Amino acid sequence: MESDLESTIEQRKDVLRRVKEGLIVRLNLYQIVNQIDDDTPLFGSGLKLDSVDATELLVMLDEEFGIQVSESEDPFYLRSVNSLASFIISRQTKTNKN
Amino acid sequence: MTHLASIHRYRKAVMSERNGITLPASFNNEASAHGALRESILLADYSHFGLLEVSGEDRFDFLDRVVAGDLAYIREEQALYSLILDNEGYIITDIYVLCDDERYLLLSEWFTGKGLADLLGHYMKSGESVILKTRNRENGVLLVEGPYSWELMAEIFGIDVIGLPYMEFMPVEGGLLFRGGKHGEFSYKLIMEVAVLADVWKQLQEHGERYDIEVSGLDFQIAARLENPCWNPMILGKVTRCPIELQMQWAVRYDKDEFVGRDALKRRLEEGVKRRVVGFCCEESIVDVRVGSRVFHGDRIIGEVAVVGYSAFRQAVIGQAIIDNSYAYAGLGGYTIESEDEKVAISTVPVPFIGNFSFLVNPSEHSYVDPSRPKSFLDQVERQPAGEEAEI
Repeated sequence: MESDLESTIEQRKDVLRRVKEGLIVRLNLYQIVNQIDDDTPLFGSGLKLDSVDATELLVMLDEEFGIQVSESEDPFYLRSVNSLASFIISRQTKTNKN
Repeated sequence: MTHLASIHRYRKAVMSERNGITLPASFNNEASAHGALRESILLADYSHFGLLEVSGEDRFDFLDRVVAGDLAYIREEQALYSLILDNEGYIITDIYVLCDDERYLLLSEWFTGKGLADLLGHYMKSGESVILKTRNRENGVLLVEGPYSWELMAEIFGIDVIGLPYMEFMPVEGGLLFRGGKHGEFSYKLIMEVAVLADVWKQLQEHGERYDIEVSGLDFQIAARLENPCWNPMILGKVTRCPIELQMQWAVRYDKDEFVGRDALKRRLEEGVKRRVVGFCCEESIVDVRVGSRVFHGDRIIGEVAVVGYSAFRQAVIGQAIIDNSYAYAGLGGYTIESEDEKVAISTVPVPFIGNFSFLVNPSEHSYVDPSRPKSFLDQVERQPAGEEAEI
């Protein structure tokens, strides 16, 4: 595997692991990390989060990743574990560029 | 044959068979039906859904042992979406379980009520007090789905519909109204007595006119499920039936004491799977990529396409491929798929592929038909006087 691809995958795996561990601890989920798939929906039938959990998610983004989310942010980053990871990586990339 | 066959024939439906039932596949309006699903309301005959009533003193213990999800999670008038697995932990079907007074009602789009009864019958222990009764003779199912389906439902069945949470149901005259769907939009299933089914259908059409409702056959699911993937034995199920490879473990409750397939599935999870299904988006909009086309990283074959098609809402060719585990992550470029002429560049992406419009609609604030209210958060922001921020 090329080193560029390998490092991109490692970065994503790291963010996914931290997101899943954060969700498990902060929201008292019964699962362990490898029982939560990357494309698991956060709301609805997936992890069954509610609006209170959504607030905790925002706290997690701030405390764990140093990301503050404004009200005008497109809400679709909250669809799944994977979309949340993509959002975090995109923010981290922007911060690193600046 | 669906109980609404004569109505569908009058509308010149193209009929086909699903789950042993003949019902509309198409009304030759796929594009407008898809637009209605995503922007207003779609109405479809879902009478292919198998309906099975499970009652008797031991109904909870029995069903909880068969279904992979946690039945204890739901109370009366609540529902659970889950899977029924075989002994090896592979998916036989997905299923909705509705918890009603003194009974559970099972809904499956892949089994008839009788087929479900036969399947569940295999798991019944001798002496267990469980009664299985199919409901397909007495009931039909209608689908009302789209960002404003809640508004039409409230107009016909009363304001309580607006407060009905996801995966809950309520009694209505002549049946049940269940909120739950697979395509990322507000979605309701009306499980109605056969005697009132045609009247309800006509009522939905009449009231639905001002919501630009579109009547659709089941073919709308092709585009809907490309954008919002879900379990389909005829598509992804042909590639794998493993909930881990399909990224559907969320429909399984591992910490239950027992359910069919649990030990085999846990074993497979501990050993680790070799491949997983991942979403992809082609970088060109006109490409000849097919199911079964190989996915490459450089010259190395890393997987194959499981489903692919053009998404009008994403304006791109999208799909899902089953890819070697070490490459199976979203957010990656550098992979290609073989096509007729050359290799096509793709990016792997999270699923679902689209931001569903229903996410931007709040029943307590928005309306499709009332001009004094904004249609959505987007409209709300536009209507806001300069300098003020809309509360989202």
